Amino acid sequence: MVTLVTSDNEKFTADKEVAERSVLIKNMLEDVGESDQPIPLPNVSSSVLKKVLEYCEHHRGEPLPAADADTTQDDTRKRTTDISEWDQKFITVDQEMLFEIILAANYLDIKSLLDVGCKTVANMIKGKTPEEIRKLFNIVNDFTPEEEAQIKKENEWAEDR
Amino acid sequence: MDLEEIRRRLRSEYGSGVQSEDEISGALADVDKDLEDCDTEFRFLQSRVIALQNQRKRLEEYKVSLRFLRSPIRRLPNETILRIFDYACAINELTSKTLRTMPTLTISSICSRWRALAQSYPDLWSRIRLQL
Repeated sequence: MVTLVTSDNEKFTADKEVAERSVLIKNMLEDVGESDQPIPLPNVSSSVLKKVLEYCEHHRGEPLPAADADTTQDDTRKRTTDISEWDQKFITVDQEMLFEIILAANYLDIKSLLDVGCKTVANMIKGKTPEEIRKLFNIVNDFTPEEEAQIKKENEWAEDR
Repeated sequence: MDLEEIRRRLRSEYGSGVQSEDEISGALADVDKDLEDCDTEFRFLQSRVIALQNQRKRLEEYKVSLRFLRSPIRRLPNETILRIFDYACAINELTSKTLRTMPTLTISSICSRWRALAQSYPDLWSRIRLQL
């Protein structure tokens, strides 16, 4: 078993096989060798780690992607935004938690979870106009008048600009 | 200003109810001055309303900007945002007439950071489809 300590000082124990789905934790465990020392995760809160461990537990035993998967995957396969039913249900959370999970997956180096999060956000973006996307993610249009004019020119052919 | 008294006098017989010419001229001059004061006050209040409307607009913009500063998507590092773009921009329908089917162009029209990121990733712009 591995003990993980979150940013809010909560301790979680997980099977080594589950925790090692995180490349960061796997490398840390290899570095410290056989030890009962808890692993501090200062960038992950308890509510997020709980979700991350739920994901790792569900996908326990599945093959981990190769380190160079990004460069070797076929382009079309790489860009599909299909998400399995369980993953879709798992990632149906509020926006705050969704981005926290993405940040944690990035920090803990769990590529498959990072992909689930990124695909979810990509699916939220698809088929929307710029204004709809800004509204969805609380993004401010911070373009200068010159940039705004340039964008207007670029998009003048579109009927839904 | 006694409107009731004026009305009473207007309805009365001409003669005893009539004020002297000087009295009326003096009253008219007073009314003109009061009207002028009213107009001045009105203009002042109008400009105050406009100032408050502008202030409200600025505060709304400030509020939206503050909310954006704590928006969760802002916390993502550039490489993660590019990963999202990679998935979102699988194909751009170049002959369509809508931005909705041109995700790369849509993404580059959101905000300065997204535009800079999209422009730094030429691969996004090469995924095009033409309907002939």
